[in-house]
Amino acid sequence: MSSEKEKKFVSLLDKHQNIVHKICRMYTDSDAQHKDLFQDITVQLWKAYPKFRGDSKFSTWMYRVALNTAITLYRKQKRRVKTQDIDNVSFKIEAHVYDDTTEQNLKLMYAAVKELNDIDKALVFLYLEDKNYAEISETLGISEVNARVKMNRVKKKLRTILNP
Amino acid sequence: MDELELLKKDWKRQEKSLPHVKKDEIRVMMHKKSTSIVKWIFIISIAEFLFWIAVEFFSLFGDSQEVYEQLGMSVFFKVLVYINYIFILVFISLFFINYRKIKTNDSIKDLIKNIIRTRRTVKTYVWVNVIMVIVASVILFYEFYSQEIAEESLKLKLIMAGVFIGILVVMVLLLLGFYRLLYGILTRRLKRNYQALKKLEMKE
Repeated sequence: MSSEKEKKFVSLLDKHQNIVHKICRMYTDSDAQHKDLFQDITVQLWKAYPKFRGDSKFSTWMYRVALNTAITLYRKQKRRVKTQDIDNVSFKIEAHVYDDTTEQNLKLMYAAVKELNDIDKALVFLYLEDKNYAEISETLGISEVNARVKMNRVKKKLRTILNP
Repeated sequence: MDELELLKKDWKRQEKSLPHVKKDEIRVMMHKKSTSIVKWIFIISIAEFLFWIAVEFFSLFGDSQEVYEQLGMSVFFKVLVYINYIFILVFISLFFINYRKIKTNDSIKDLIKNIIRTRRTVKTYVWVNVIMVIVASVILFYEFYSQEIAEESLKLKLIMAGVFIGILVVMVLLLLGFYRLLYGILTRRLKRNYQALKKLEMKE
């Protein structure tokens, strides 16, 4: 039998589960790892839920706990991993939406993002999620200026990859 | 168009292709065990404390006690044992204080910092023990040397000293190698990420 608290949590997570899936896409290379990480994030969210105070938005709180799990607590399970092409698995580019050059550029950019270290990935992820620098700096625990500087560097890096 | 804006646009489009987990599945997942490295650091740390307490316990009641008495060193070793008890209490308290500070609600940086601090407490405890073992062994050897083999030939003295140093070095290396292997796997990623964050701060 599930308590009221549990019901509330399940419906909140259900509503915002896209956030977790997107983090899984960012940090894993296969469907099996994606499932593993989703599972781990769910456990950590549930464990941290009693400490969640309604004063912040559930989604904001979720970004933090989920990213913390992906970056800090999660250990990739190697046993179930099969090498798969990241272009096809992690990010599905719909070919008919773009012209060839754009599609190629996107593939290159996704591959470049995949190569970034865990912290830079978090930075790019939050940026792609439309988070402002105040939120990014608070989630990572670095200053806003540093977040901005680093983000500019990542942008430059991506630009160099596309226009060598 | 800015490359990153293009990526952002596509990222939003990606939402359509994301998998969906049903509520029932979420309910099952919530109650499963996590593979959290913090949990493993915690379990291993407790095992370490227990190991050193056991070592202490057995050396207190084992045959070694007779050897100490023969060498007239029982008081010295009793003092050492009490000092170690104080160490154990202090370190276990510190360990739990640090462990309780680990919260996934923190920023990424604070979380990693707290995990590393907890780990460092246990590491310091292990080092304190290793150093105490070395100090005790050296003193024991010195007493043994002055009472039992001081009159022997120089060759025998050198051989005994060599064997003693050899055993000590091998023991310490084995211990260090074991810890490096045990924690290396668990904390490598943590350390790398913490370095990456620290590097960001330095460039301000």
